[in-house]
Amino acid sequence: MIKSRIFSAVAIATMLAACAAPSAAPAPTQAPAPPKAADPTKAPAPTQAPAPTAAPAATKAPEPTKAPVADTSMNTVGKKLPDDAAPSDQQVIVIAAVPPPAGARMMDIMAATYNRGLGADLFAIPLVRLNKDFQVIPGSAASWSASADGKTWTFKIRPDLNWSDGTPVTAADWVASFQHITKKETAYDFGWYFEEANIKNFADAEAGKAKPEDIGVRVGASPKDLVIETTKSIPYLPMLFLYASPMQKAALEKSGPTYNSDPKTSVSAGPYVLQDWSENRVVVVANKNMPDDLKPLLNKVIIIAQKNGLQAYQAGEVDTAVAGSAADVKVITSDANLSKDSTQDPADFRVHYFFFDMSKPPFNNIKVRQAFAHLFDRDTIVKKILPLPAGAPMYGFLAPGFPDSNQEQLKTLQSYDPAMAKQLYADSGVKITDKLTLQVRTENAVEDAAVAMAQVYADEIKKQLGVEIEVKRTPQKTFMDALNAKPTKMDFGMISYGMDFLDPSNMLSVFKPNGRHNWNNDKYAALLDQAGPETDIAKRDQVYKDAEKLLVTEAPGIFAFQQFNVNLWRPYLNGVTFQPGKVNTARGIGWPGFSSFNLGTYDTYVTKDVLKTRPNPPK
Amino acid sequence: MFFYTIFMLRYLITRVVGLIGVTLIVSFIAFMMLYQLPGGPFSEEKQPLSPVAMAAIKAKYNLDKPFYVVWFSWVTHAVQGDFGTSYQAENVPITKLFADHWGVSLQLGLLSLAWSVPLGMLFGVVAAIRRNQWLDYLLRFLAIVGTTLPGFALTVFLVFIFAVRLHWVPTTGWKPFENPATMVLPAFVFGLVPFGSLMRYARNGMLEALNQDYVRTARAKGLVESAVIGRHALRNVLIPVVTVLAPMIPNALTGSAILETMFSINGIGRYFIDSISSRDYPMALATAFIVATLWGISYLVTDLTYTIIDPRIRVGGR
Repeated sequence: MIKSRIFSAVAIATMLAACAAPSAAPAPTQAPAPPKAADPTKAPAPTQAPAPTAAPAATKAPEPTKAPVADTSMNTVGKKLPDDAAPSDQQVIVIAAVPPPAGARMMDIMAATYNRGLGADLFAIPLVRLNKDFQVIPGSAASWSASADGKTWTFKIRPDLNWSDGTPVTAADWVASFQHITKKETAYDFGWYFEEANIKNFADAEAGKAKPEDIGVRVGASPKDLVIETTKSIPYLPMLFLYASPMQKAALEKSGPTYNSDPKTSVSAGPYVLQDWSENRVVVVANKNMPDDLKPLLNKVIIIAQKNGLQAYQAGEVDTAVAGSAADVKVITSDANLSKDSTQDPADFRVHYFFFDMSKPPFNNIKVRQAFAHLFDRDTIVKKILPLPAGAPMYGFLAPGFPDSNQEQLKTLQSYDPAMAKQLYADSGVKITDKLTLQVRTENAVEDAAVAMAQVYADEIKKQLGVEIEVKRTPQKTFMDALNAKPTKMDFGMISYGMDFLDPSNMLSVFKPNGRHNWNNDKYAALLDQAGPETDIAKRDQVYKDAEKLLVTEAPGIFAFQQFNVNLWRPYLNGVTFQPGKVNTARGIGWPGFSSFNLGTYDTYVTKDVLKTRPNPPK
Repeated sequence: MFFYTIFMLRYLITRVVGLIGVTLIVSFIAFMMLYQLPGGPFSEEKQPLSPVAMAAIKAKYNLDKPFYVVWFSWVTHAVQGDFGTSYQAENVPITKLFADHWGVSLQLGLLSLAWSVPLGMLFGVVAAIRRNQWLDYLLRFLAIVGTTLPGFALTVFLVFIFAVRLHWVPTTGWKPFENPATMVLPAFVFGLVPFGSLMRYARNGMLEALNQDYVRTARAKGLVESAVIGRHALRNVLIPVVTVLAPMIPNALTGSAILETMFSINGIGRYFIDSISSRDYPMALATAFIVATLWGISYLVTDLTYTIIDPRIRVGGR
């Protein structure tokens, strides 16, 4: 009896202590000083029509290794730390990452895209990278140029770039990687993306009609020259090669495409080398074989698969995390300390939208679609269900900040207007008597909010037009299988799309004929075809704006909201990407995340402020 | 005795042969159902793949063949110890994945049973002895909480209290030797269902036993209460307890998809669910095979255990 009472008392005391204990979030610290040593990117080429870049400043040859000295202003690979940086032993961070699928161990985007393992894309640098504002900057390629007809591109691989085993990075590595993804037995899951580049024989090789050796990717005049031949001129082609991050030819041939999931077989020409790998914890350390400007400032990065990154952040176990749900966002916005650490990151400019099967009644009737479009009260619904910093209403498909975004001019085209909706529905001559099913694709961080919006929207349609709609959650694979079926098996749905590269051609191609949806509008297709190869920037911009206006007017999609990533960053993290950009004003390493594609992966460092809240670096 | 041994051997052989048959049937049915689900082991999350790329993927994963051909191919390899390779792990054999990850799930399962089985039984017996007293009500409440609260909800709550607020344990991880505190919450949450179920069964069994004539006789003989319960009543509690424990063991030994995901435990449990959601057919077949085998073995062991607990019970119903 007595023991039971003691137990009860302890239990109650524990609960009280838990409720009374202060939040684990670190005490607010002063705003970090701007970085000094990390050079901002110099005049990146404009994103929309990247002119051949000028040759970069000559990179110094790696200096001979010096005798070790206790210089804490240099990191473990001899990179000078900024003046406000913490000592070298503190240059370690822990990242909470969304768990990948069980078993996923492809660590390179040219091995697999959708099933990549934890900590992928750190072991080679793509031909180009992105700076804070998503502008193309040199990566493995120091420079590039196009032939007069725009169909032959030569990328000059940096002469000082080597793999961690000491062998040089050469064009042959890209050739082997591109041949790998075009082999039928590879069954590469991202082939559609590189098809966009119109590389000679690429699609034929995928189909088995040409040999992988015959694709338009070859070694040029020197082993460091990579030549890409295309079937048509694509002015923005370098931007597409953000994902051209090679696997080492020798390792690929010897150990297969998962060679970077084992420290014994891993080889890196990226900012980090693999130290330890498991499916839910990966440790990488700075690559000493990199040229100085490509060496990272951090010595070590520990990446942990975390289903609930917010709790790990609150417990002080990780240095960055992303809100995994709308509920997480509410927790963050209601906590002063967490709010200070959070950022509203446009990420991949993801837009959620409703869509229709336009091959048959009732949605092959433009007036029915337009009637539906005028019934989504996005200003009210989005602001109530998924307000900033997680979501914002959308009036078109290109979100603010995205090239050629035209939100203000498009606002009236799908504005909430029940009277107009009723009129359009009456004018259509269509009477929908069957109950419709609105399927919402799940497995997105804000899926609960999307479903709630769909439900409110369905209620409004019922109220204004008398059309019964059942809202249904559909798992991703089932959803996509139904959507992509020919003919499609999905009459009415809600889905999202986030960019692959920062050009209107990418987002707008979602509605092109034979794309994701069956709008099949010839005028729209012609506009996209016209804009794609256009080198006159102003003209190109206008054509894309016209295309988006047509898209919003004819309403094959009803654009609902933009989804932001709400990230948490410790205040003691700094670097160029932690300063507000012109397009991306969010603090921290933004899209495409902590990978060799992103400048933030190289220049992020830990400031002296860390000593206030994290006296010992994580192990 | 000799004839009984022969009989037992025959019985065991019959059960093992039956187990193999059941395992094959289960894997066939499970695969047939999975194969009928929309979608495949590829993702078109973004834009649709071209028909040629799709054809290549279907050919690679045998999706261009009827499901029974794929199943038969898998079975013929599986009987030779080759369970194939997981689609997600590309060139890593499933046998290696199991070898790498099952140990962790076993640790989690055994640890959860190690506390939940003895405590569940003990508390069940105590609750029966203190029937309708406040201790009985408290323990029954705990049993209901253990069996009804969803593990993921409880996990979020407990992690918030003990990891985020109190910093007594880490939010995630499984490092038995380096940091034993990592084991506390996963093993506690995972053991709650066995604990609650066993407690309820043990309580009911004990209550029933305490009302039996032989218990009254034992008391009438002047035996002290502890001897009455320990020697006479407790043995009869074991039959229902073993019955309810049997299905818990394979469950515990194959890990928990939810808990392993929430606690970032590198076990095999996550594969059971992910293999279905990602249409990883070889892995799904392997997991169905393992689960069916474990359940078959578990029931066989249970039947044999009955004969030890109660000599009146004979296998084969004779």
